[in-house]
Amino acid sequence: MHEITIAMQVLAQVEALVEREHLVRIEELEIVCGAMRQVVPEALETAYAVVSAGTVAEGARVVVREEPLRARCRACGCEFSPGIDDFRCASCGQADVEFLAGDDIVLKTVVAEREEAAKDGIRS
Amino acid sequence: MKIRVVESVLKADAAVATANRSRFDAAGVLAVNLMSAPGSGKTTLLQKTVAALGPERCAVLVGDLQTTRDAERLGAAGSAVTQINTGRGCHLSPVQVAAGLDTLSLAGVEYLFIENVGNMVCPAAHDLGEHRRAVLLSVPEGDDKVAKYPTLFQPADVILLTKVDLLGIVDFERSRVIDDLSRINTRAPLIECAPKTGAGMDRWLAWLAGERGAL
Repeated sequence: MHEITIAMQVLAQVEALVEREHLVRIEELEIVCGAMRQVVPEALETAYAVVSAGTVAEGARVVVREEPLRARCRACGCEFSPGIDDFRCASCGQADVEFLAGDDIVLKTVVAEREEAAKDGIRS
Repeated sequence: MKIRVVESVLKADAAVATANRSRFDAAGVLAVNLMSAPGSGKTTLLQKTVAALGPERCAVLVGDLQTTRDAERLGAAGSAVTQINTGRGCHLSPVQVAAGLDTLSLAGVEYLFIENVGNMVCPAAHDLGEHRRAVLLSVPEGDDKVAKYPTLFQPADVILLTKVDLLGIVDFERSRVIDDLSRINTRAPLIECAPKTGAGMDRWLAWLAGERGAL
């Protein structure tokens, strides 16, 4: 359910980018979701379609990629790649971690058409 | 053209959460975010906690989709309470917490409890600016919740097993919870309690005092 909130935050970022870069059409968004964030890709795609309807960012293809977990054990400092259902340190066996990857949601790339290109009828 | 952005989608919320945390720090308040399934006993725990600590030392922000029933229960205990109705929202956001804080005076308050919307998935993904996360699991829910919802239990600073007065009445294997926590979270203490009878409340109150002292 929290995909709607995430989609609204993505839209705010895209709208700021549209303003800054003078974009007229957004074709594709690449969003990287950390495994800890429990994002359902299809739900985020649908949520984005709903919240972006009627905006300049409408109609973009949303590509969601999941980023696996990478963690550091707080007990012994060992770095390892836990599963979502098992955070035990490979070295000392404690399940007490801080995340190095897989705990954020990042808008990575945007494929878009710029104002001048639209005028010339050229897709850059 | 392809524009490389590489910007956290969560950064606007993270900034508000950081501002909330600064408000708590400035007021000398320990902020605790309570999360669990609906019906695990968050409100009852808080009623008893506020009564034990003294209502003037506590303030509560309580999130629900609808109604002010929890705020009415907590208000009767004498603490400053603000109900946040999230409508269709399945979790509290840092912006809602900031707005709720505007309605509360933190003067003289030592503990701020944020009772999140009853939900075992979405609240875990949102930092509200709290200092500590408390996750509740009640005996009647079943002993398999830790394994089923690892992203809720993994970042918990304390885990409360509530309604332990029902052990032996409903099927529940304590050892299963402890075994699952050995894979998910070995940092958080597990406090077994029954706020209705008062069992285990001393450990919870001692944990709160210790965490406030550590700020």
